[in-house]
Amino acid sequence: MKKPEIQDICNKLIFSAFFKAQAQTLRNYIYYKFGDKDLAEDITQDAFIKLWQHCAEVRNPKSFVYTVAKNNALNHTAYKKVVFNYAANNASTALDNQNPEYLLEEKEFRHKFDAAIAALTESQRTALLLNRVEGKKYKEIAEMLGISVKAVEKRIHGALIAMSEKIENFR
Amino acid sequence: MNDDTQLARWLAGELDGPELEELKKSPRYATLMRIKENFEKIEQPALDANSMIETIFMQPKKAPKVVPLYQKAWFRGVAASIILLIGLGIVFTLPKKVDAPYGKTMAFTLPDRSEVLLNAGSESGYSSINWDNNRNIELDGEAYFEVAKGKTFTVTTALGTVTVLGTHFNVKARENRLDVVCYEGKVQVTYNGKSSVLTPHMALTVEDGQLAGGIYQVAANKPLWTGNTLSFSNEKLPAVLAEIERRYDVDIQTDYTTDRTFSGVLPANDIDGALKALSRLYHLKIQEHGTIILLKAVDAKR
Repeated sequence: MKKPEIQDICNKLIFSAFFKAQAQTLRNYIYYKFGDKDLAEDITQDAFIKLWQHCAEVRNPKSFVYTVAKNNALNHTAYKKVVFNYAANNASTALDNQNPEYLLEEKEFRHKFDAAIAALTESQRTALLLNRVEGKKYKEIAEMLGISVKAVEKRIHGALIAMSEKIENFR
Repeated sequence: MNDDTQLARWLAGELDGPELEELKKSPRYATLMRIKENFEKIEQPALDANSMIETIFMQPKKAPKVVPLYQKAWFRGVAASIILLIGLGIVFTLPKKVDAPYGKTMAFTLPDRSEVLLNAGSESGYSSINWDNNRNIELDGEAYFEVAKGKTFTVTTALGTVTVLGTHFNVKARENRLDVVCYEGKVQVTYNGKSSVLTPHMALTVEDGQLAGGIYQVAANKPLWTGNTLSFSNEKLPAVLAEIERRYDVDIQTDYTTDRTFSGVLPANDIDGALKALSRLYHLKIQEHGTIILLKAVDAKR
């Protein structure tokens, strides 16, 4: 694969393209860490502002914003709660799937699901959500978090075990 | 057997037949599948990128550090400085060249923060000395400009000159044809002793020294080539093929000649799609001979 050209990130067009490609994932990564969307937006915005201000000195913009964001995140520890948006149910518009029992059961499952996500360790949760919700491959996650692919797989495996146990034992 | 990564590999669809069958027998499998299905219904949280980037660009930039130089033995220092200044003078008077090779576009910033995006296969040059009072850039090829407000800014090509104050515009000077599109502000195009003024969404074409067609309208806010589309307005086939060659860095040859010009769009990120569309329109056959793409007329009579 060809190495990307070192382009001038001080150029507004280039900066905007870079921002549009990276900002949402970075914001969501911090969101999955802490379950606090406002905090995630502040940290993301601050990281990109620092990139803009130091644009002439930064060699690798992507690792720069991730490093700044992660350093900023070190000061926070509390986990609020990740709230999921579910797409409108296109697949189950068949009448029998709209019956009240089905909807109730689905609602209860999602409640257990949310609790299981909240019970994960931060590293399990971020790895799993970056893969399942952001659609990032294990290799990309390894790069973002600065760990090996094997470490990502271990976290995801651990997350799934923990979640299935929590859901099954939910009373 | 990697027991502590198995479920990650299952999730990624990497388990082989026997491993998968084994997992399906596990009492946990139903719950795992339920978890997987639930994830499929979850949407990515969306970010309001536009409002955030506006906030970012409003931030003041930090001033660059100024490092003073102190010299003890100032005689020697002065002699050295004079030689250095002369040397720097030579370096700074050489025009800066910025080129975009075939297959690549090249973005760069001018000393007044004006921005230029060069299309593939284009060359440009400018002098940074006293730039604010002498904003002139030479262009051979195509470029999109976002010019900062200031004194007169000119783009000089072999086919004509474009003069602006602060605006966004596109200049394409290829072979014997000059196309200029104004997206914002006002643009004056001078060619062959004549000149025309363009306002936003207006464009003109000068071919062989004459205005071809009148001034026409363009709907977009930015040239399509800065994204993933090549667009053509009454271009002769050789010019269309030349643009494809530059954008994709390929070699195309054809023995087919026609007077039918091409107006339309082609993808800039899908060479098969682009060639197929052209071949259908002009009734051509695509053949590959090593690194050369050959387009042959299907019907010899046309």
